[in-house]
Amino acid sequence: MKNIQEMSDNSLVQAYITGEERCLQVLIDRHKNKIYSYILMLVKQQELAEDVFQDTFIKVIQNLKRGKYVDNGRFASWVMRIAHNLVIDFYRKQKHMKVVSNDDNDYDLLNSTKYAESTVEDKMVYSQILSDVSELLELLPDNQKEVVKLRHFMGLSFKEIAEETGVSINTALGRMRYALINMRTMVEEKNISLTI
Amino acid sequence: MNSNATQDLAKLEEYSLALIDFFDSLPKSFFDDENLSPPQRIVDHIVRYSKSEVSSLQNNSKLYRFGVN
Repeated sequence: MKNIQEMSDNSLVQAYITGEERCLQVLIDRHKNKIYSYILMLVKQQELAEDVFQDTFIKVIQNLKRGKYVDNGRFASWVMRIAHNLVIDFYRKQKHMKVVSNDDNDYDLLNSTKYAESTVEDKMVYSQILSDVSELLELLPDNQKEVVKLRHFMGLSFKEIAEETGVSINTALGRMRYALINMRTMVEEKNISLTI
Repeated sequence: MNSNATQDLAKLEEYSLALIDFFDSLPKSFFDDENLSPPQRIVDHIVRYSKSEVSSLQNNSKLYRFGVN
C-alpha cells in the first residue's frame, strides 16, 4: 500500500471496507473540519454539533461496511448529506413535541419540581451517570454491547437490530437481557448510584 | 396549510443542501483552523466504535461515583 496520506478518498474507502481500520482515521482527519463546521453552522450549538458529528460518522461506518457508498469523487459531500439528514430529523422530532397548556385546571398537575428545569447539579449528575453507563457498556461482551448501543443510542427496533447483526429477534432480545443483567451486577458490585 | 414550523423546516432543508454545495466549492485550506475541529475525544469514540474496541478500566478517568445520592 502506498503512503496512506496520499491515497484518494475512494482508495481509502475501499481499503477500509477490506479491514484497513487506519484508513478511517485518515478519512476523518482529512474531512473532519469541513463536516464539523457544516453541522455547527446548522445547529449553532457545540454539544449538539458534537453529537450529530459522532452520529454522522457512525452512519458513515455502517453504510461503508454495508457497501452503500458509491464513489463519485465527493466523499465529503456524501458525509455532509448524511449529516444533513440527521439534522433535519432532529428538528422534525423537535417540531412534533407537543405543547400542553394547563391553564384551565385548578389543580396544576405539572407544578412539581419533578418537571422543573434541571438544576446545574442535576445536569452534572446526569452527565456523570451517562459517563458511568458508557464506561460500564464498554465492559460488556461485544455482542451485548452492540445490541445496547443499537437499541438505546441509535433507537433501532429489535427487528432492525436482528437484521443489522444477522441474528434472530429472540437472540437480540436475549443479548439485551444479559447485557442489562451484567450491567446491574456491575452497578451493585461497584456501588454505583445511577439516579438523580 | 403549512404551519410555521413546517415552513421553517423546509427553509432549513433548502439552506442545508445549498450549504453542502457551498462548502464543496471552498478550498480545503479554508477549514485549516483548529477552532473548526471537533474534539479529539469524539474522533476517538468514532474510531473505537469502528474497531469495536473495549476501553481499559485503567485509564485514570473517573469511572464510578461511590455513595453519591
